[in-house]
Amino acid sequence: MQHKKIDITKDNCPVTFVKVKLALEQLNSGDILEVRLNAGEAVNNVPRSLHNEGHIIVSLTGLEDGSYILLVRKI
Amino acid sequence: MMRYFRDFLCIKAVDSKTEVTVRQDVPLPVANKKNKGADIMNLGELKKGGFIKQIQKDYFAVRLRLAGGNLALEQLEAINAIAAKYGSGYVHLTTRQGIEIPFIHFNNIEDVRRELADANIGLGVCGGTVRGIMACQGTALCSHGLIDAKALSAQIDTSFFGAEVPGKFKISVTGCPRSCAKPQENDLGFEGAVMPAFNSKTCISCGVCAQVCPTGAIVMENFFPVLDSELCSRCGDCLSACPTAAWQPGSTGVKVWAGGRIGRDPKMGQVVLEFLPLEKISAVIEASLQFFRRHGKARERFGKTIERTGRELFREVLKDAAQKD
Repeated sequence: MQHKKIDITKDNCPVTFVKVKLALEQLNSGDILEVRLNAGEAVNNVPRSLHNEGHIIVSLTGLEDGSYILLVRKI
Repeated sequence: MMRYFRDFLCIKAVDSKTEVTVRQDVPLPVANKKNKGADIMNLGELKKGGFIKQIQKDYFAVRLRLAGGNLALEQLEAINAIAAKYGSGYVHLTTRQGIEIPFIHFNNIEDVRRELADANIGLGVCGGTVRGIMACQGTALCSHGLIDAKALSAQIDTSFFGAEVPGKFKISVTGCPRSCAKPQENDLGFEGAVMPAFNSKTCISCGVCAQVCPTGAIVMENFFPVLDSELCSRCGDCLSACPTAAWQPGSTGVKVWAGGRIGRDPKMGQVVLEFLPLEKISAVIEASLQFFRRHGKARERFGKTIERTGRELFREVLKDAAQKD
């Protein structure tokens, strides 16, 4: 079981989602991907888009600096 | 006879001294056995419009009836064939998601009309009528869509397209507050609206819904979101942002805008109903058209009529229509 991390706080939509998709492609079903992402457009769209593609949103936690940590399990 | 024919077209003839004849191969209009002269001058049909007088003598742009810019490929092919056969090598995309085939010669009007009908394509309208219904893509494919704007525009088209009223009457359907189909600049505009319903079982307490809500209607209390329905603008942003679909559409309907127009006296429409269930839309359109017929002056826009008679009176009429079973 892998646990991979990526940071997309420097990216803008739709690159944010594309990077997460590419990261997920390198994982196996059941693996966890940890994504650091910004508030606003990224957190409003990326987690939901992953949900719509069938992945499991394990948690989404706001950090003190305003960014979020998303844990998603690959379907 | 020719003058008689033109007088009933919606755009009055521009008496152009310069005769721009684009298609030299088209014979001049002569009433003969083939076109049967007087048969073409069916006043009832011409009044409905569809054939728009061009500045070029004896040429007309044929406006087609489309709802929400929807066009099946077979229809597109038929339009292409008709435009190639009778037109001038191009079509015009109108500002209301419609199509016009320019440079149809007077002599070919009957043939064009028949060939369009064979392809199941209706003619557009002009003058004091309900014009082509506009729509965005809505839930058909858009992640922001709250209502099926395409289907709704088709229903409105079936029931109300071409209905006669004192002035031009434009209706638009848009799927969400982003307003891609511009309901605010139509005589009546319908904007998708949804009352969110919460399912605590799938909520992961991320708080994104509270953060995304533009009116501050959602606050996090004890790790779960709490919705103030009075503050909720029914925009659906919480639904589309929620990563676990804990927010689901509750009741779905529309916000109703009225009185918008562009033209010489441009005005944004105003919200006349904050939330109207989908099944009440027909009743509200019918009540609006009746209000317009009763109070409107010839060629006046609906917004003017509302302003003149008083906005409150119109709101009352709509509320009654919305509450009737």
